[in-house]
Amino acid sequence: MSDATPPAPSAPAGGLPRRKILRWIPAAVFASIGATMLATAYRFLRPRAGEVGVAGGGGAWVAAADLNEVGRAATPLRREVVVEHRAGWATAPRAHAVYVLPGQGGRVVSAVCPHEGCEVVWEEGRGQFLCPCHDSSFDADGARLSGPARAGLAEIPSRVSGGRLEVRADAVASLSEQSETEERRKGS
Amino acid sequence: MRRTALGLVFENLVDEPSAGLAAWARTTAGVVCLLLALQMLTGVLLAFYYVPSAESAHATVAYVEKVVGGGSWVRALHLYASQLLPLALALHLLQMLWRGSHRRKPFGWAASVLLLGLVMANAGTGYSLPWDARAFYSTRVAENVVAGLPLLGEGARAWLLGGAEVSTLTLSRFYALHAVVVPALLTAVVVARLLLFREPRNEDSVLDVAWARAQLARNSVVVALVFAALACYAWGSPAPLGPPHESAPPGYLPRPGAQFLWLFQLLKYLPKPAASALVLLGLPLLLLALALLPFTAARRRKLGLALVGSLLLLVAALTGVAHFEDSRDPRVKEQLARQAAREDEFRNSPFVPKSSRADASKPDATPVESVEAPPEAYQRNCAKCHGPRGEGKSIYPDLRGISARPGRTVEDLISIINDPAGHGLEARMPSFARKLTEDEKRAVAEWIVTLK
Repeated sequence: MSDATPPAPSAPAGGLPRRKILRWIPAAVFASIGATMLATAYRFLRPRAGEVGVAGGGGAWVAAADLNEVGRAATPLRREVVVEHRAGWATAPRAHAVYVLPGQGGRVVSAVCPHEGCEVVWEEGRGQFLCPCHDSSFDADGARLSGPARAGLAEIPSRVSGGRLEVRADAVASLSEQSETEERRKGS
Repeated sequence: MRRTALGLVFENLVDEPSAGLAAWARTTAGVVCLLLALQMLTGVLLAFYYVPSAESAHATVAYVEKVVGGGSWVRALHLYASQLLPLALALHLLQMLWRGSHRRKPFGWAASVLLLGLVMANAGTGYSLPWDARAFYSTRVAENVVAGLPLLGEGARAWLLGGAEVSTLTLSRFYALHAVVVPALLTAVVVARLLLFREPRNEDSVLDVAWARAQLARNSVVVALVFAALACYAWGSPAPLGPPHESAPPGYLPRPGAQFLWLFQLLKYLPKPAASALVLLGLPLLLLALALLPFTAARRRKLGLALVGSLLLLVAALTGVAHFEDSRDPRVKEQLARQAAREDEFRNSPFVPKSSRADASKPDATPVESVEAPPEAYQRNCAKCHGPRGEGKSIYPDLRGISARPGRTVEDLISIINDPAGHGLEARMPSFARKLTEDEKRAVAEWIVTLK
């Protein structure tokens, strides 16, 4: 401990180098602890991209509608497809609305408006899909008619299996999250 | 110096110059400062993921521990810093008494004593949050200590628990206390000490800037050493986390953290009302008396030294006895080793996200050893609730080892499968009389009795 004895208050012990060191020690300690904790916070709070999304990967097919129903339908059938979503420490089922289009061999479109993500509704009187938020409209095939949306309703891959119409879980789930903004960002 | 707030802070902080050992002893101030800052920072980080509900708390802590980048280290820092804090504060008080600075800085002294109390209170509420077996029993003991208070006990217990029993409401309350109420009080004490009160000034003393600079450097050196040691220790030994408390095996031995071992040992010698009076009345009063020490007329330094010294000795002795008693009994030692192994095993098992619906196809987070694979009829009918290996799930009972209990032979189990209500089981289990063939029932029952 002898080397640790501070200089007597009045003595100019050590001169410039020592005073400089005394000034730098606190700054260096503060900076290195701060940097360590800042880096830790950055790692700790990083968005958990790999763990958010459809549980168990994407490739699963989920039932959307019964084939008999699809055959009988004269107007688009609204169906909710339940997909298990993984978000960090939990998985939870979430319902995603889709429309099965009649007389088109089981074509399925997402009910999510490509403009800002609201859910479109089928207006029987006008024979159109209408977005309740910003008034985009789409025809019975899902193609864009008017309004701020720049594309039609997104098509979702479907297949027929065991008397039921099935859709790709990942396609349904990702379309719900996506608006045009995101698509644009991905494109650029 | 201008009368700005910073000037006041500086004036309140800087004491008369000291040299040699005394100057180095005073670096406890820097260490306390470091640990408090670390607790705030790591606590805020943990709060980004933690969910205070009985259903989710454990899953979120396990997620931080196993998945989140640097999560295990952050959690370990938070735990070990919480154990170091009371020690650092005790040393701080001792060196203040030794140098007699509690007379020059009475508010600094009182603030340090209050911080010691608040830090212990925050550790006490923090131990409940991970909701493993250790957390559960920590909550249980807190509940009973509060309940043992004369007259007020039952009311205080209900207020602490938020109801009649330990539940998800209890966890919310402990979380609010741990993350909001106590830290707010702690911050208030620090702010009051630095900004609100003015320490009595000695008009003759002149601030020695060169000395203050040297002292800051000393503080920084010790802070760097403590931080490096803490960081390495937290890296090497992660904070313990067991499986969820529901799956704790019978015979679980709860042991508190290092800063509470003395209290744990002390409670072995005291009946309930005495223990409650000591913990909730005696200790706070003692701390209050200690905080007021420099304000008493006599300003008895020797009394204070004797008080703090004997308290520290008592705590150290009781901690030693607690360690000694656990190491003396081979059965206890063995059980504690088993628990540690179980915690390690849990830590090393991959993280399984908590599902919102009962799903038998997902492997359970708890590793279980089984003598043989379950019969197909079990997997089809029973695994959904009782787990793929009979380990149970939330409210559904663990089937392992039940053959050791009375009324659980193969024949009994077949009869239970046919008519659960007739055996006094809760209505949740439906009858499987017609869902299984007689052979399947027997196969399931014979498999269940092999579960250990």
